[in-house]
Amino acid sequence: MKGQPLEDVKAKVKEIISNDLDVNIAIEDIDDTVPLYDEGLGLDSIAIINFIVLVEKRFDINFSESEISSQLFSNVSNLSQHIHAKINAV
Amino acid sequence: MSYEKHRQVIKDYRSDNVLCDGELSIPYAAVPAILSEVDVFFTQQRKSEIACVGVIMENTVAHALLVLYFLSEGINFFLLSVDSPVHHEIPAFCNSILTLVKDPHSGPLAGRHIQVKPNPAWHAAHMDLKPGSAAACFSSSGTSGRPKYICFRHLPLLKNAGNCLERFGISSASRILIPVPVSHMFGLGVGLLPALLAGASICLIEKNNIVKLLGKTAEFRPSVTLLTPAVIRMLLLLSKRSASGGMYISAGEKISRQTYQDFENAYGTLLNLYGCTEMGAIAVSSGEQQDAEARIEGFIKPLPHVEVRMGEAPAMQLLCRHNAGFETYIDSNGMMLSSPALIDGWYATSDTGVADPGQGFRVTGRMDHCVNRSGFLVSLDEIGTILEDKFAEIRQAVVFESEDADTLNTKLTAVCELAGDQLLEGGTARSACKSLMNRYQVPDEFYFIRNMPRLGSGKPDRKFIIANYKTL
Repeated sequence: MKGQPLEDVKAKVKEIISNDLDVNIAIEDIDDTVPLYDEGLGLDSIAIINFIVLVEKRFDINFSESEISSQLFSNVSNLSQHIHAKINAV
Repeated sequence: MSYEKHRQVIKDYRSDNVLCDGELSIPYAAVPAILSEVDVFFTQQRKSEIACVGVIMENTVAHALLVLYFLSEGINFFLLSVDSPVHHEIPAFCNSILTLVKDPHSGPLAGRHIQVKPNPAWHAAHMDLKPGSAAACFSSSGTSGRPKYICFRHLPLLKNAGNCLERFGISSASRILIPVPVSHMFGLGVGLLPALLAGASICLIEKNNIVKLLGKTAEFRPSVTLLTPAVIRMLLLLSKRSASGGMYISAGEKISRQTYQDFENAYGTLLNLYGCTEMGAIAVSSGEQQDAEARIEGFIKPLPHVEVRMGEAPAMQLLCRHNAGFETYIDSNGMMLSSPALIDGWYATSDTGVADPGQGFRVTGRMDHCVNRSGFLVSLDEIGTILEDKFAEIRQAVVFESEDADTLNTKLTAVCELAGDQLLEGGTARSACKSLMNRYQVPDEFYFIRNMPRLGSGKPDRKFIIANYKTL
């Protein structure tokens, strides 16, 4: 996991959204900067829970409750950068 | 507290505390100037001719200030939730429909943000609501049938909030996080209004989700957070622990014993509030450490100035006498309907309960969720609670009388949402039930599902489940 390029992290995050969540969103429709919920991709509450659980599992990381914020989950780009920093800090 | 004093409290802000939402934050000190500017707008709009203004309410500072303005001026208003079953249907008793133009960069609320249109459905001839009569109208949740319009006067609405303020010890030092809709009585009467009356700091979350909630909890450090059982279950799915150290208040459907315990272990004291749109807040569990077991068992005690007693057996309907209940039901034309359902001056809640002399009382279910079986009056909600409490595999259960009954006895069906990856078979569940409940309570058949169909409020969609349980 360590040393994984940022672009790979982004691709994996998009893969989770598109393939593993119960949402109808194609990978190519996920822009790096589009918000994940509300008027962006529109992930609902249940999808967001599943998303967090899957991200933790796939990247073998754990978000503390103080890390989970609107800023971090604002879009794929911000989240991927955080995951990238986290896995490389291990 | 007198009406004038309530109005004075609302108008007299001197605190440095803030009102904030996801986009802006304003100090209380700024509120009088904002309300004055809003008043200029409504004076131009001939506020004395507003019979009732309908607002699709969102959890924003601007909407909160708008309600504050209506309360301080005695203007009749009707709040409609974005997720309401009657969404987009402003009733005919509103002669005005108000919308807010979002522009957080130009201040929280001013005349330029407000758009008032006439309601084409309005019929003046049928109105019992006179302009300036300080009425606050709501539609009921609609989970048990067709929504009704419930009319409060402003003073009882504020007194209701005052009861919560008193019971929860809300003061200007409090920090209230409100992720539940303030268009509903829980968010408005238990969260927003008590906090405003106390001058407490307020943080509103619009379109709540777990990311927003955890983010705001870490940032705002609330002393009180309002939650729904659905959000409580979501928080537990994440297996995080909160560092807020504050108190949580939940209202809505019953929380299973295991969920309650898990939540308190992970997040802190959870108070279960019982109320309804008609009566506002009625009762709540004790937050004392020594009362933890009673709290988890669902025992609650009336709020100050509220009395609760049991009706006659066998139904044991909960009856409530409140110092600040609603005034009347109205129809969509604003005509007053029959008087509130009172039994010797007590409001009939349509809920059933059991009393305990030392611990208060426990709500067991709804009257219309009771059936007669083998000569016993059986609460279907209570069976659901037993299933949730006694089976680790079951997260939530909905029990109902099956329409395709092929036996002489009333046939009961249980639709159960399984927890995590758990599995359970109907035969096993039924056998176990025989030692866990009275024989007349044991469901005849079980259906196990992974995701319970829910309403926007997070409550199970009972009607949909009953109509579709075989194909879920």
